[in-house]
Amino acid sequence: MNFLERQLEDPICFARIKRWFYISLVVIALVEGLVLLAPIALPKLFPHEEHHRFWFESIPAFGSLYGLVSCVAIIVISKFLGKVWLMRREDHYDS
Amino acid sequence: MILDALNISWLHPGLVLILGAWILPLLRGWARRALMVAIPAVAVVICLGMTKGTYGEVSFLGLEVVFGRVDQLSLIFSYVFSIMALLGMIYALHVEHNSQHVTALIYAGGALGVTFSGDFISLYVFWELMAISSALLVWQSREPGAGRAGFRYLLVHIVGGLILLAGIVLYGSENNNSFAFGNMAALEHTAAWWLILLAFLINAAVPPLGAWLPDAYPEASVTSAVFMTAFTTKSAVYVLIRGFPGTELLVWLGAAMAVYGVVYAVLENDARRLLAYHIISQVGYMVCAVGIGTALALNGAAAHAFAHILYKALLFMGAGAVIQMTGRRKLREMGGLYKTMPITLTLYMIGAFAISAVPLFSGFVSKSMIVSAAGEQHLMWIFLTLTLASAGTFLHTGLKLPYYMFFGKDSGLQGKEPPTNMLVAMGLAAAACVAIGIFPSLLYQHLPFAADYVPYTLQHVTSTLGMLAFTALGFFLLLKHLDPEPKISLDTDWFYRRGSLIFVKLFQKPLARFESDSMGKVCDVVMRRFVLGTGGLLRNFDTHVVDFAVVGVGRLTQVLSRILRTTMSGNTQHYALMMAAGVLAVLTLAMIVR
Amino acid sequence: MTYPILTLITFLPLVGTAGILLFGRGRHARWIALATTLATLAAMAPLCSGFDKTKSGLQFVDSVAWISMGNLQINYQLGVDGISLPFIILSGLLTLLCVGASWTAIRTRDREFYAALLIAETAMIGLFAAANFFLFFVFWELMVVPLFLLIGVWGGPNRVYAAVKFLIFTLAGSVLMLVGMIALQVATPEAGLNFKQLTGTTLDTTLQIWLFLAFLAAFAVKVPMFPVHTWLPDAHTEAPTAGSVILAGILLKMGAYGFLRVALPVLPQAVQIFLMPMLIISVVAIIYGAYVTLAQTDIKRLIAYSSVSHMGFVTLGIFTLDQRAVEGAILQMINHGVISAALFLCVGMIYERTHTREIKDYGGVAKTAPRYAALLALFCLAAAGFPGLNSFVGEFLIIGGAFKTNAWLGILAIWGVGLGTTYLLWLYYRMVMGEMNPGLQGLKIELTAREILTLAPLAFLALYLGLHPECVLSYLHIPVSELPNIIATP
Repeated sequence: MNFLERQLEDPICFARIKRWFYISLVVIALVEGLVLLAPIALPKLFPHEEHHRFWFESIPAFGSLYGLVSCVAIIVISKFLGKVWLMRREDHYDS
Repeated sequence: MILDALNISWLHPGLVLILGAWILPLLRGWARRALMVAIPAVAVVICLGMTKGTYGEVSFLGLEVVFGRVDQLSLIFSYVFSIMALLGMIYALHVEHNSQHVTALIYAGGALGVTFSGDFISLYVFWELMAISSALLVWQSREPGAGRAGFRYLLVHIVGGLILLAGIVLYGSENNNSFAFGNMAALEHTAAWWLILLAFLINAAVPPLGAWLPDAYPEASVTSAVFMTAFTTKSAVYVLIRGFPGTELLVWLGAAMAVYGVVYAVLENDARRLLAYHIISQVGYMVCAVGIGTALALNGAAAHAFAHILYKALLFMGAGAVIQMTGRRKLREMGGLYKTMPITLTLYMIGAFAISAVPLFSGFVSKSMIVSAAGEQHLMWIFLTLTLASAGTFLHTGLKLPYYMFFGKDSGLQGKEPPTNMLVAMGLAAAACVAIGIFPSLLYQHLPFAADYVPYTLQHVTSTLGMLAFTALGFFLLLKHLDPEPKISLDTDWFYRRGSLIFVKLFQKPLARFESDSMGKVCDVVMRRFVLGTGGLLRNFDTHVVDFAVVGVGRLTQVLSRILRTTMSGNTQHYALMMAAGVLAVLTLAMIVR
Repeated sequence: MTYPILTLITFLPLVGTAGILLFGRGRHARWIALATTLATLAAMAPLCSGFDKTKSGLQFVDSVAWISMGNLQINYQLGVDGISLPFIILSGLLTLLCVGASWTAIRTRDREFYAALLIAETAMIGLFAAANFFLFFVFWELMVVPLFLLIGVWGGPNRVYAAVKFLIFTLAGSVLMLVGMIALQVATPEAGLNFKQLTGTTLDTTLQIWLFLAFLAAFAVKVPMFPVHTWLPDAHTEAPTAGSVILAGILLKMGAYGFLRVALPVLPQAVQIFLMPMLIISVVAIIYGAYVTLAQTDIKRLIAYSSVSHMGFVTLGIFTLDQRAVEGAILQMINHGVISAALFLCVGMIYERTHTREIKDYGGVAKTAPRYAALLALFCLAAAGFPGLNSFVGEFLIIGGAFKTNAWLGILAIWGVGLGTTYLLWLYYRMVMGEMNPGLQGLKIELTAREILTLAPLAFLALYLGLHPECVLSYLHIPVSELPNIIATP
């Protein structure tokens, strides 16, 4: 797949991809925050909105925030558990 | 139509699979392949054409046995099981060994049997059938660890089956000899209730009872593993929905399960073991939903099971294709395959997006139901936990696995696209994932309860997108720390693999003698040390104590007779002496007694 | 029925024996034996078709005045009821299959072998058809001699030890049974030791206890119950295939049948007193037998020990005194007869080729002998209690009764089922799956047509009894409900 190969291998193309990635992150976060306000501003256009059940749903861009936090937390805690306790040599059970 | 003409009101699709499987070894070449696809296709057609009602009622030993309870809940599961059987057979068309196909079809047939059973007796029959056929599936693999892993798998499922049997017997005696299978709420917290729940949880791979799943699934062959992901755990979910809706314990277990799977998956080096842990995670969502028990939650559990079977199969198919074409299973040894296996990559990514609940894919429309149900019930921590697990799912299945398999540092492996049948199967599954994602009503109309849930709300979509995007950010930031290590992780199977060793060290010395080579090669640590240890001990007891006691009496008799024989010397004088001595003794005795 | 059908069936094999001794030169003996066993089995057909399941009491009775001295009146009486009929048919079937299995295996002194086999058949059928205790005892003793010969002459390397052990164990029990029988006659002279008439009488409780112990000695050895079971592994292992089939298939059942015929109807109070100890010994037999089975390295010995465990289930079922469980126990006796016969036949067939019974000499049989592997799989699954096959029904009924008596009994019984499944599937895995053992290379292991024909009826029965157990259970409802102290199903 030459197209994909070019995109990933070529450093200039790759840098461009990274840039688009960061831009899209910002866009998504912004849209998320705006969406919170939309039902208040334009109730007719958005009839299906669920009303918030939890306090944190009112935080703008909560999804994005929680996503980042979750990801980091999972990686850190799991690696920690692994190092301290769970990880063993591959032939641990063979005796 | 044909069935009406034949005067059969209903044909059990599971029976079609189980019996049809036995015809396979009789055919060859293209006829065999055609039949491989035709049998599950017939089952699919039957399932789609079924009308609701109760069929196949048989009286056995004076008990009511119902083989065909057809209602919305069993229908939706039957659709996905039969479709899965079809996809799995298409995926396995290239495999020459008939035994795998026969076993797989019987396994799928057993799952259909469980789905339609209306009472515990038929449930037990098909439950055991599934356990044995899936163990055979593991054993048929060529992998070196398959023998032992299959044996551990079999042991766990035998124990689970026995617990179920005990529960069923108790249930029958408490219930006036009625074994009807339905909502068990009336018997809540009785012994029968606990036992049956326990047996169901074992099959659903709920931690701490679920270590058999990541242990056995990676050892099965590439094509068998695809079958295994679908049936055991999802039929367990079905019976949980049927029998234990609204049980609060399940809410907590399910949420814990969802996170547990994700945590272990981070540490995994073996591609399919990682996916296996994700099965645990996703089933956790379903178990949690069963516990929540509202109509929305149960709908969500059924919908998620449906979607999960399809996208999990797709993921296993994709990973399996890579393993088959490269010969490697550890993530550390792969990489750079996007150049040579782009179609596999694309299809895999569709599955990954589905499992991560990316909007426009099937996972999104099903998982949201569960999370919203948690929200509706104001279960804040459950809501947060499930969302966290979603992030973790995307992290592993959508980012980590493809990164290390397809991208990442080039391992120099020369991959090729897998054979066409595998691509076709993957393509069909992928198409289903996308179709359900874009047209959720396709799935919603078959749900057990009326569903007026709308997944595509602006807020929901953006929130999900945000979560996924920022998870990806986290992934790329911490990429260095995620390199898979050549290690294995301990799970609760430690207890029956190692823990018992310590317990048995006490018995070790007297038993060291009879450990022979062949036992060491094939059998498992559990069998050898713990169970066999007791067996050997008792065997020696039997030979040296019990038998010895009885035979000892015989030997004593022999000795006595030998001693007595010496008195028969053939010498008349001796005889005379003996006679005189005897008479004297009798006289003395008589005088004393008097 | 105007002719004495039971007498005919019982003594037809003896006619065959005479035939063999007169005409059995060369290899003719086995043909005569085959013809005789086929004829005997065929002669049983009118028994089935003419049997009335709704009548209580014995049917097809042959009664002739026999011994009468003073007030001692013992008649020659044969009769069947619902409990004995299945066993008679099983005896006929298994003896026929034994002839089929020994067709090529027995080469030396085959005249005497088949003669002994037929005498054993007479003893078996006679025992189940006996309507009074005297005949019961006669046939019980008669059974020992041909089997002693079968084991001691045509058996394995350690045969003499095994045969003598079998003889001494059995006779020790029989002596006590004789004493008990005489005491019974003295206590109830007018009954003439007839079972039906003895059931009516109430004996003094102390006498009952002693009688029960006397009979227990004989029956417990035969079943075998722990701890007098140690003759069984040696006898089963050293016997030729036909001997093992008869031993496991019928002989063991004679002990449990004795409980049903003699102990339960005639000594109800004693049974009540000994109930708990018997239940406990049964459960011990189940678990202990299973554990010892796990540690075996010789296939035949493994199957032999598994019989200890399975018969533990039977006695457990009988002594719960619950109607369904007792029916299940009787059914399980038939099932076990079918399955262990099948397993011993399978082992015998492969032993004929490989001449080794050690499990470690096997492996990967499935590759060269798929039909053998398939049949063995069926029988292993059936023995393990797989639902849909015969043992499941029996075990289910027995476990149900066990739970009703005492929850712990039920739990231990289920544990026994689990162990049973484990050792059988493990045996199967070691023998049939995995890589081919190099020692088996080049051997033609696959079954011949004759062998498949021998196993076919057993395979059919395993399936049929599993799916339609009513065919046997329907005979049992009336006679079991008439046993004293039976807890009937509501």
